[in-house]
Amino acid sequence: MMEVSTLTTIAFWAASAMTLGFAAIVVTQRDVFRAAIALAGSFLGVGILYFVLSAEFVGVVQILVYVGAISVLMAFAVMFIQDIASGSRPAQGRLVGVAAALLIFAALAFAVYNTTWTSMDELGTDQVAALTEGFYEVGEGDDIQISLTEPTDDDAVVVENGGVLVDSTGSVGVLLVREYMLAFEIIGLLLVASLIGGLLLMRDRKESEPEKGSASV
Amino acid sequence: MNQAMLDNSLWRNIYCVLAGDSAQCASRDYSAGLLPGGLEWLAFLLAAAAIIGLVINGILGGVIVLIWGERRLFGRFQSRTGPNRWGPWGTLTSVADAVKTMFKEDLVPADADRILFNLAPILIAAPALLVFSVIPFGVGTYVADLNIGLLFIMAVTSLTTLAVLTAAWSSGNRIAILSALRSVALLISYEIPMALAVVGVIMLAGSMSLGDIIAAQGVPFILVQPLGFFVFFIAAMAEMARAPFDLTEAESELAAGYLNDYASMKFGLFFLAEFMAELSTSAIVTTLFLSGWRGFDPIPSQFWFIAKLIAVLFVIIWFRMTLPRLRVDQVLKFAWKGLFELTMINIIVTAILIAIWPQPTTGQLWMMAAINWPVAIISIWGVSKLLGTPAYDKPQPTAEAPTYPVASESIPAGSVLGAEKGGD
Amino acid sequence: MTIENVLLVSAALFAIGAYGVVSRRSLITVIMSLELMFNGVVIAAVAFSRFTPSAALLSGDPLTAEAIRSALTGHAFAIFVTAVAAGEAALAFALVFAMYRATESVEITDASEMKN
Repeated sequence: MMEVSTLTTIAFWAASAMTLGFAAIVVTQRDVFRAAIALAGSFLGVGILYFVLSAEFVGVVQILVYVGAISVLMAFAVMFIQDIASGSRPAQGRLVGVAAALLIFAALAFAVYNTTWTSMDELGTDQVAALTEGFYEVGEGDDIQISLTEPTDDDAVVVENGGVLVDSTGSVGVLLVREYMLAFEIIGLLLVASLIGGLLLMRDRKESEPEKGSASV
Repeated sequence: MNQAMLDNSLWRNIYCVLAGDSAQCASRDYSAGLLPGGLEWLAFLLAAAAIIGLVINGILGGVIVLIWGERRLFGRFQSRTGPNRWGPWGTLTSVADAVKTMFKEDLVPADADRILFNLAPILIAAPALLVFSVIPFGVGTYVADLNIGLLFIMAVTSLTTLAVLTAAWSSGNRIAILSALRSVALLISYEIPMALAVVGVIMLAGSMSLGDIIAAQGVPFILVQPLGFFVFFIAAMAEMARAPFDLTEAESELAAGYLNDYASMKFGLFFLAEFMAELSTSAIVTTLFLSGWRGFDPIPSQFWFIAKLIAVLFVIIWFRMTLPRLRVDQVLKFAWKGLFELTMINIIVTAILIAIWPQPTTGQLWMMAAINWPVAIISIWGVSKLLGTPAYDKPQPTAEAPTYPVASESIPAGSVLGAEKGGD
Repeated sequence: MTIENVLLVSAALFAIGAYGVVSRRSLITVIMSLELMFNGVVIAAVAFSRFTPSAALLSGDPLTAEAIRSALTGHAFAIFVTAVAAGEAALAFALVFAMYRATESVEITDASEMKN
C-alpha cells in the first residue's frame, strides 16, 4: 500500500515542480495577465498531482472547475479592469512577505517532520484488500454484509464497489449523498447566494439615479 | 502495472520486449528484455511513447483526409466539384494547403506579448489531441481507458476557453479581445448542456469509462437517449464554434476575429485544432451514442468505428452547409433557456427509468427507448414553444387589407394606346 | 513520494500564496494568491486521505461499508473546498469590479480610507 513505483515518484516530482514553479511566477510576475495564465498552469499542476495521489475524480474536478472556469474568470477580470497591462509593482512590504512565507513554511515543515504519521501498514490485510481491490455489499436494507470475495449465493442483492483508492468516483458520490448530504445542500445554497450577490454587485447604477430624484420631490 | 494497459496488445508487446518482466509478461515467451534490470519505468515510458506517436500520426492523417473530404462535400452541396487539381480527385489539396501555410511569413505584432502569443496555438491544439487518448478505436485499440474517461473529456475540452483568451489578449488588439469575449461566452454557455447531456448515458452504463459505456450498449444509446443525443450534438457543435454557431469566425463579417494577427503555421495550428476538434467530437458521439466499435463479427471493429465516424462527420458537415448563422444573443438564449431545460428533463426521466430498472438488460433498454422518444419529442416541441419566435420576424398584416388601384377595362381618353386603338 | 514530501509541497504552495497575499499590490493578484493557498490546503487533505488510514478503518473489527468509504473523506473535503472557492472567487471579482467603478483603481493602497 505504501510502496510506490519509480514512475510515480518521477511523476510526483515533475507535477510538484510544475505547480511550485508556476506559483512562483504568479507571485512575482509584473504583468497581471501572465500571472493569470501562470495561475492556470499551477492549477493544472495541482490536478496532475491529484492524479498521482490516486485521487482521479478530485483531479478531474480540479481541472474542470479551476482551470476551466476560475482561470477564465481571472483572465476576464484582468481584461476588463486593466485595459493596458500596467503591471503590479510589489508593495513596500516585500521583505515582510518573504519573512512571513519563510516562517509559515518553517513552522509547517517542523510540524510535518515531528509528527508520527499512522501509516497504512497498520491496517489489517482485510482492510487493505477492501481498499485496493474492492468489496461487495451483500444483502439489502439493514442487513448489509461486507464480503471481499464474490458471493456465490444467487439470491443475494450484490453491490460491487471498486477499490476506493483505485476507483474512487462511485464511493465519493455515495459519500456526498449519504454522510455529507447536509454539506452538499448547503454548498448549493452558497453557490446560489454567490450568484445573486455577484449579479447584485454588477448591477448598472445609472437607472437608480432618476428614481432618487423623483422620490425626493 | 495496470491491467488495462496489458490488455492493449501492442503496448504489451513493446513493453515486454523492452523490459522482459516475467511477472506480467508470463503468457509471452520473453525471457530477457532489452533493457537492464531496474529500468521498468523506462520501458513503460518508451512503450507509451510509441503508442502515442502512432495515435497522433493516425489522427493527423485523419485530419488531412477530413479537410479534403469536407471541401469536396462543400462543393457537392453547392453544386460544384470542390478541389480537384492536386492529386486524383484533389486528395493532395491538404498537403498543398499545409505547404502554403508553412511558407507564409510568420508575423508577430509589435504590441504582442511574445511568450503568450507563441503559447496560444499550443494551448488550443493540445486539448484537441488529448481527447483522443481515451477513445477506443476498436477492440483493445486505445491509449488509455480511464475509469473517469468521460469526465476527463469534458474537463479537457473546457481548456480551450483559456487558450482563446490568451490568443486574443496577446495579440494586443482590441477587436480581437471583443471577438474573443463573444467566443468565450459561447464556449462557457455550451459547456454545461454538453456535460449534463451525457449524465443519462453515465447512469445507463453505470460508469464513466468509455470502454464500459460501449459494453453497455446492447441497444445504441441514440435510441435510448434521444434527448441526450440531441442536446449533446448541438452543444458539441457549438463548442467547436462551427456553423450554425460560428459567430466568432464569421468570415464575411469579422476578418478572422481573435485569430486576426496569427500568420503562417500558428494559424495553421488553429486551423488544425478546429478540425481535430471536429474529429474528436465525432469520435465521442460515435462512442457514446452509436455504440462505438460494436458491429457484426467478420468485419473488424476498427472498420465499424470508422464507418460510424464518417456518418457523424457527414451530418456535421451537412449542418454547416445548410443552416444559416445564428446571432450571439440567439445563441446564448438557446443554450440557457432551451438546451439546459432539455438536459434537466432528460436527467429526471432517465433517473426515474433507472430507478425502475437498475442495470437494464437489452429488452429493458428497448422499453426505455420506447418511453424516451415521446418524452423527447414532446419536450423539444414544448421548449421550442417556450423560446418562441420573435415578433419582428414576420411583418404582421394590418387590420384591413390595403386597396391597390385595379386596372380598369376602359382605356383613358388621352392615352397613346387609346389613340392607337382608336386609329386601328 | 512519502507523506512528508507531499505535505512539504503543500506547505510550500501555501507559503508562496502567503507571500503573494502580503506583498502584491493589485487586488486581482492578491485574490490569485489566495486561490493558491486554497490549493495548498486541499493537497494536504488529499494526501492524508491517501497515506493515512481513518479512525473508522483502524478501530472497527466488523468491517462496514461506511468505514471503508471514510477513507475518502479527504476527497469529499477537496470537492467541497473547490466548490466554495469557485463561488468565493466569483463574488470576490464582483467586489473588485465594484471597487474599480468606485475608485477607478484596483490597487489595495488606494482603498485604505473610509468613505468620505
